[in-house]
Amino acid sequence: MPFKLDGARTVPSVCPYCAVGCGLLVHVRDGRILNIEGDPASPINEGTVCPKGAAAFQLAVNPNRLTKLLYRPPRARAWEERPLDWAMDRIARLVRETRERTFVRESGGMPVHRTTAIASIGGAVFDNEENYLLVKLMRGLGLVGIENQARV
Amino acid sequence: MPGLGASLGRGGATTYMQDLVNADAILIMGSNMAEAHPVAFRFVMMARERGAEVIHVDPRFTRTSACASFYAPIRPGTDIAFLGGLIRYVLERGLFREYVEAYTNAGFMVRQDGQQLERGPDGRPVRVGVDHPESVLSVLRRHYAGYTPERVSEVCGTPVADFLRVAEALVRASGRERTACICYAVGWTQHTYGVQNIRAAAILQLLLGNVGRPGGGILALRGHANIQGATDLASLYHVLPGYLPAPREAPEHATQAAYLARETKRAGLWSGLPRYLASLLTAWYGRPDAYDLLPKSDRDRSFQAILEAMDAGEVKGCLVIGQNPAAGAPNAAFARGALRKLEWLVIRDYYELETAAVWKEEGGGTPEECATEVFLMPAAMAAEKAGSLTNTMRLVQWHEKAVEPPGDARSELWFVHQLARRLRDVVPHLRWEYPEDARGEPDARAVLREINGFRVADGSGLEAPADLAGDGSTACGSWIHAGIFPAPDRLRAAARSAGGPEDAGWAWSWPMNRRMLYNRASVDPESGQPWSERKAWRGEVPDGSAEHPFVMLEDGVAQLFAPGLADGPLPRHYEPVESPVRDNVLEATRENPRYRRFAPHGNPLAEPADPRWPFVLTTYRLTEHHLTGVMTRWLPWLAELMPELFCEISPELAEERGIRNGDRVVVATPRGEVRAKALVTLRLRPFRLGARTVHAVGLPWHFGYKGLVRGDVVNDLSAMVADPNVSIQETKAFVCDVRKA
Ligand code: SF4
Repeated sequence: MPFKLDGARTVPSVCPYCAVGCGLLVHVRDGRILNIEGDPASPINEGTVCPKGAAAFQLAVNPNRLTKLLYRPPRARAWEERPLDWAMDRIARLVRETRERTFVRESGGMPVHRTTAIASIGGAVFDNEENYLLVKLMRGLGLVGIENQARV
Repeated sequence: MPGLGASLGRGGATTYMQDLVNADAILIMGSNMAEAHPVAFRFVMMARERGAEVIHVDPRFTRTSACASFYAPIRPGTDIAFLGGLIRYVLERGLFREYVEAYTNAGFMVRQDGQQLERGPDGRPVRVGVDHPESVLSVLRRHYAGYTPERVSEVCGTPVADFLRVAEALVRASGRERTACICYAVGWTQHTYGVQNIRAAAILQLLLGNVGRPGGGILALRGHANIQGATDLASLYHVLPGYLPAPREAPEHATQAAYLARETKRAGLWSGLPRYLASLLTAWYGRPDAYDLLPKSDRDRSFQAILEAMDAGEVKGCLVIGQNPAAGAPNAAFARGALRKLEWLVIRDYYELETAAVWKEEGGGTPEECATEVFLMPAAMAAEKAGSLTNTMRLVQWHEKAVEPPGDARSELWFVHQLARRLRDVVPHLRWEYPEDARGEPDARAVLREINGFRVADGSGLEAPADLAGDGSTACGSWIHAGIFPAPDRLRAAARSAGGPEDAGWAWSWPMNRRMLYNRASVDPESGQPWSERKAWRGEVPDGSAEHPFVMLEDGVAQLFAPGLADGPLPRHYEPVESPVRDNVLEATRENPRYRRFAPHGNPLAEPADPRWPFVLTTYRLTEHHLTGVMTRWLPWLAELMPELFCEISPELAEERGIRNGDRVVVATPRGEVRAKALVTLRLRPFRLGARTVHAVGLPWHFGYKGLVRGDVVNDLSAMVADPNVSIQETKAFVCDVRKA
């Protein structure tokens, strides 16, 4: 009987849960994740993981996971599936319209370039590059309400 | 983390986890490290095996306590009283005088008003020596003179003998030959005086000479995989990437020149602010003088302030990315009501979380009445995208993409990039040049190159913050990250060679791959040699100079006395806003006079010592769940391990209320009620405060109304009150009642 990981590619990764930052190894075959386990090379965990890190596989490979974009129109009782592109267009339009309606260019003779009508919440579970780009766009649009649970 | 920033200069852990094994004592306080940061705790266990004393001070006896050399109980929310008592004890019996004289502002003169340091015409502080009656050290002595072991015991409910045992252990483990480390987590920060809790710990460690030395320091244990990175890169309203102050609508921030005049420091690394800002503006807007384009904040726009403004109808649209305010916000029922008032709500996550279901009956909504347009977008996980995460010790670790995300799931990078493309005409000034793949996913490496910084003329990468220019010839997204990716073949966050001094070949930590900050304080300034051979620092990247090891601070030395915080230059004990204790025997005012309260109409508070809410409630985490459970309660493996909400109470409290182990109970506060199963346990003990007894109640906060296992939202109980410096909520100590359901 072949071993479960025969022919699998090993990709080093990082635990997505807490800030200890344990190293993980992701085993992949045919574009699918077969297994995730602690990375013995990491000086932080040396291959060990806690129950959450040990469940990282099921976080990714899980029938309960969302894989379709869901949209709920005003006052509707249920979700509807919509195409991703449609949703992106619609979100862009809402951002644009809300911003246009509420943008303050100047206040008391000072350029302030802001809208307080749109807020962005989140950031502590995704990558640095994503945080940076999100903040760049949001500040670029004039948002001042940019927050996440990193508030310490 | 301004508590660390104001004291030492940088808002991050001062050391790396592996260094815990070098400690002679480890004080864990405000943290249940064994259960909340289990893998980091193995270094504590290694230290104990090598003979270190491990001390746990906590309201509950947890697995951390069980593994400690000894445990001392403390009433929730009274840590400053305890730390103030330790400071007083150390000033009397354990001061590392040479360290303190050389590396802190102990010998500077305090101005008459007690709020600022006396400064000469050149801006330099006036040195009077530590023994002068108006020196910082003398002021500190007077400030904590009343924090005697007996008073500490009366406030904290810690027996005097236990308190003294902690004090003696710390003093015994500090000095030239020995060092002690402090580990803390949100048990210290989530208070209306959260910043001052950390300040008190910093003062203590400085007096003991435990900062910048092997086995010493302060290890902030942060919660989420990238909470440190999100802070560094400014997903917070009050800062820009790299901790540049975000501009406000105020005369001192009206123009770039005014802002720089106000915020640039005379000396230290913040004297480089003009270059950092110019390089950031070049990265964002393509020119170094684009300050006018930055939005200027009008007032507090922190998390709770956003929810308040949402409820008031001011916030009309909201992006919620990887967060779950419907269960995670203080006074979560208020948050759900506020979310239902939005015109549109975009949520990006892995599972259908509580926030996505606020409009449904189970979230407390009436669908026909909720006019919010809601988008629930599936998100990609770490293994499905490339990028970097910054762990609790400022270590930035790169991960490669292993597989494509399933179905419509996409990375946040994709989402932001696709949104930016559609809004190009709205933000034509924004520099936005990222190569993308066939799916429209921008290259994460290109983004990290911009964060690292490059020369505009030839695109060559910057090696260090010193390379940043102020004339627009360099672009840099975050000056503290300069050096992380200086050349296409040198992605240092992906480095994988462990071993050697400080494991410095494994990934990259800001700033400049320093693992131990302030390490120049590890030498005796007289001789230029390590304080002792045993505690010699052997790392690779020195920090600062022998004269100025705290290079981020204007005066180059650590701040025992830290002007500029909203609630004063020295920490004081305050009662939590909601507390069963009416008086403050240590200070003139009961609660922090500057604490913030939000949405009073929807956020009722108990009066001091209100008999209707006689018990102290504290909330906490379990090993098997994460935050509000979005990433754990949908996983059969974890749901099965920890399937149900429970409430910990002591046998004494159980008897008082006629509750038996396993009974259903109701926990109530002025904001709401939750139901849970009673866990009657000796892990919680009543606190004896002088003549009276105070009971504590413990609740984990991981549950909600979605997921495979469900439970009431514990944050329906907590209040929207906050620290005046950083607006963090107070969820570690408030009041409640408990009764049989
Ligand atoms: S394995 Fe456990 S301790 Fe390690 S990062 Fe993941 S959640 Fe944290």
